[in-house]
Amino acid sequence: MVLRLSLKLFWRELKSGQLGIMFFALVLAVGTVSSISLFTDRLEKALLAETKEFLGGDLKFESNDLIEDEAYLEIEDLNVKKSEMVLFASMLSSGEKLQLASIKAVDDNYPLIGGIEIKSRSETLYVKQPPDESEVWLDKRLIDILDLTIGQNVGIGDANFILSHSIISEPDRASNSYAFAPKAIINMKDLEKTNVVQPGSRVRFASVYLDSKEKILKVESILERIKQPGDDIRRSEDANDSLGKAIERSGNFLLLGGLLAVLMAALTVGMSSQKFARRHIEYVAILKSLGCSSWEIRFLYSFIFIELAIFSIFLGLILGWYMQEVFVGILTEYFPTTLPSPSYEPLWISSLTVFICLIGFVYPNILKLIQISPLSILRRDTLKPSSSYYLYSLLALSAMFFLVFIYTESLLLSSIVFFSIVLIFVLGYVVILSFFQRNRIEGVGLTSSLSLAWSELHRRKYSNALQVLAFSMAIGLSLITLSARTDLMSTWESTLPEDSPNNFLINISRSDLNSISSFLEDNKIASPTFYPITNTIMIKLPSVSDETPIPIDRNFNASWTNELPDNNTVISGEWFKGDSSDGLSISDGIANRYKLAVGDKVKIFFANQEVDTYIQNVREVNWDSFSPNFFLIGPSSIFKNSPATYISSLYIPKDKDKVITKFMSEFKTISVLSIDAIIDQVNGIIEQVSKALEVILGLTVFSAAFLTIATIQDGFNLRLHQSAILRTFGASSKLLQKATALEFALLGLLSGLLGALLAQVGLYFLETEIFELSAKFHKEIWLFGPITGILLISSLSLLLIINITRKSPKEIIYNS
Amino acid sequence: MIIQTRNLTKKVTSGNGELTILEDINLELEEGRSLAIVGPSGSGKSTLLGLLAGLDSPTEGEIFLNNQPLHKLSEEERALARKKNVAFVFQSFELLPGLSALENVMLPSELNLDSQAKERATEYLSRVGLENRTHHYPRQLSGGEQQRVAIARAFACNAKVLFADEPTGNLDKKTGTKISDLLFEVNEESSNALVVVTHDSNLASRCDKQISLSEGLIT
Repeated sequence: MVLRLSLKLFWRELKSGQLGIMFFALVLAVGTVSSISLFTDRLEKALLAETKEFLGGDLKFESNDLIEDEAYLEIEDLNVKKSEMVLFASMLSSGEKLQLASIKAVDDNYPLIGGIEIKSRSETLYVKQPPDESEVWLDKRLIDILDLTIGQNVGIGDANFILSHSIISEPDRASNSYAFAPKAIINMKDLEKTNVVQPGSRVRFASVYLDSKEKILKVESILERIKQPGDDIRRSEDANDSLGKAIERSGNFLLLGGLLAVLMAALTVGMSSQKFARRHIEYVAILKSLGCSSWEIRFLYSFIFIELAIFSIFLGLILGWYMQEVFVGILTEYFPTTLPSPSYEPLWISSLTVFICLIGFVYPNILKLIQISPLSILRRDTLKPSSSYYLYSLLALSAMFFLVFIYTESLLLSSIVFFSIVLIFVLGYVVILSFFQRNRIEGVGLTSSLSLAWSELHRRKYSNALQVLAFSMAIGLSLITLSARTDLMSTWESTLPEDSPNNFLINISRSDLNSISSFLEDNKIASPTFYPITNTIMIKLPSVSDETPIPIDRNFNASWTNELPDNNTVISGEWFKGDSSDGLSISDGIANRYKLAVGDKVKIFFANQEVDTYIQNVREVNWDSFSPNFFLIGPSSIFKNSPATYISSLYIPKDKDKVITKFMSEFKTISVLSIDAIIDQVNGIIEQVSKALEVILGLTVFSAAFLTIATIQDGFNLRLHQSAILRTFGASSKLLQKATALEFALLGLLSGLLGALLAQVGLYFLETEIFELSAKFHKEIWLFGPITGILLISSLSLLLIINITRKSPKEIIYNS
Repeated sequence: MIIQTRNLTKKVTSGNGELTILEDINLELEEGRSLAIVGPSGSGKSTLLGLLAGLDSPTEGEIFLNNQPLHKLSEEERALARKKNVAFVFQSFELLPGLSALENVMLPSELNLDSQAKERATEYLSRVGLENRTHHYPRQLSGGEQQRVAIARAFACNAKVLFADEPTGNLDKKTGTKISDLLFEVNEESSNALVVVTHDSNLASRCDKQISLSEGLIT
């Protein structure tokens, strides 16, 4: 019986629009959350696939030597999918023309993941196999420099190859030592006949592995065991490129936007359910007088809200699925393969959200309703808090914190959002009450709209305080979303300014420096800084005499300069003084990884020299800057006698692209790596993700609008009756409208100020703790907040009061 | 003549078509006199009261309140006419729950920008015997006390016509008698016209004139 009645009541309430705001708020919450979590889930999977492709597999090992036999056989026994390659630099010849290139000889398993995009004379192909024997694939720049066409001969060492395709993109790009130079790919079977790889040649042997997590872990442990200084093990999870960071930050933002939308939906639901409960006092009284028990009433209303939950989850998920398809559609062109299917987890989280909202924010109101006495049928009753009401308020707060935690999976972010809100709530409530407590006017204040507005503000101080807090939430949380988006965009813009370097110059000899500067000057390109580099090994010296020295298990390309490079900040110790007391500067990553601190004694080996020195400072390095960055920097005094090659990065405008070909023909031994493609990809994704951010911002503002409407509507139910009585006694509609607009303008102003405070506090923590930016004062939110508050809230309330004053007072009095 | 109607008709449109609530009502009431409107439930008594007081507008016919043609006025103009001429007492009292007894009584005087609103309200509250309950809120008062506050509010504004819709309808017999005594007593002192809608034959018999309605017609 209860279930049938609940279905009837639910359907009637829904049709009459009484559940409207609550229903739409829930649908929007489910839609927002499911779309964001489905989208980020797919995006993360796609990025993981992309980073695997970037590395060429799950794990990559590079060494100057072949893997020793015993370890090689051990890995063979694991039957793991692998591909081997040999990387070396050699001259390519075509007729009279010569050019240094990085050559990659690959086996038949290449590529393990993804494919190679190549172009023949007429068509572009996506292949998953190495070049045929006696064929070579070349980077387009190499083809331009050597002035080749497809089908012509190219010489590498003693062997001749036919240029069959140009390389557009390849997996495992930029993941190895010779990646910077223009590249050639040949089949491993042709390697021997080139006669280039001889004992003592500078060659890197690489193997890539792709398999189950367990097998990969086993391979990794074998490789760790045999690893020598100079060897390199890379895992796909370690990839931390600019794109990954950009996506990670925007993922954080999307989650934040979704979270705030959900919080506002929860408050809207709480607010609307209060109104719902008030309207149902009479129902409960009648049902009780007809013999319904409290438990039956409890079930009846619980069922109504479960039905509401199911209905809104259903529609919300449809909305969410459609929205994430739109998001995915926006980004499709930036991901070469189809985005992976999402998992079911986001759907469960969205559904759970609705139930948490209902338990935390609606159930306390149902409890109050259950307490209604059947006597209310005879005498109007009001909702009184039940004894366990405060316990349930605590439940609402816990539900809110739990919701925040589910979305962020971060205790820090949850605490920031939750405690900022609670702090502003308490502070705001106290301030508003004390503000309205003063300057009380005796009477109703009907003499003018201003005095009526003031007397209303005073008389309704408790409900006004709650309304102001709800409005502040709507304004503050929208401002946080808006400003966080602006923050994110400006960080990206500052990371990648229009003239950020798009070409790396590598392998520059000292004698080339002057001619390069003149070449750039002639072609009107700003001359960059050239950093010397030399291969260096470092050993941490023991602090106590009986300890043995600890070698640092990798080689560094150390540079030396007396000026702190751009995009570097000293975070401990002091930068070089320029005298003989100077030590070394290391990046914070190296300091953490090898437990090195300022003052630690180290020995470095470079170019047959040994120097005992110490760590003078630790730097934070912006790796996203597309400029040469170094783990290890020394003062010129230490490295002054070292032979060096130089590295630099420079910006070459798109319209001067021909200059690069000219440069490469003129400076044949210098490798030029264009990172335009990477920059374009990052820029493109950022631009498209920002569209997704705008959608999320829009949804947050929608949720804020629902919260505002629900709050205003709640207040206006009480005003409906009052306005009818005042008009019966002759108060003009204009007086009531003006007074209401004034009253709500003031509430709007207070809400705007409090909202701005909430946004400022929230943003401070978000900027410093989550987005890793420096906190700033957002003066625009102190302007937007109050103005939006005044305009939005007073105009919405004006609309409602106009609607009320249009109704005949007789109709209201006799129907209430 | 303080109230005059000519062929007053009120029709409403419902799901079942047009429904005539009142038809061809003609009545007159002189200043300082009292009129009782009686009739069974659904006969159109409250609708007639609403029309006479300017709370609603007729479908056809004319109404003059203190020589003002209410049928020609907009809602805003009728509000002004109500402010100048009319006071009400309702069956369900219609006090504002957020205002004290004193503030409820001050309400119409404040609307008329009467600087003596508080003094006048205090005076009328003591005339209805509630001088000790001025700062009580409606929920703290009994039904009889609430209706006394409503009567004080009606008289405090010095209106020309007092409209009372079932003023004793929600009260027990004893309290009802006290309230009707009070209503006529204060009305006599203030020489206002009084229009009462009632089921109570005793109350109706105390009025100077009576009209009886049945299915929207005067019988």
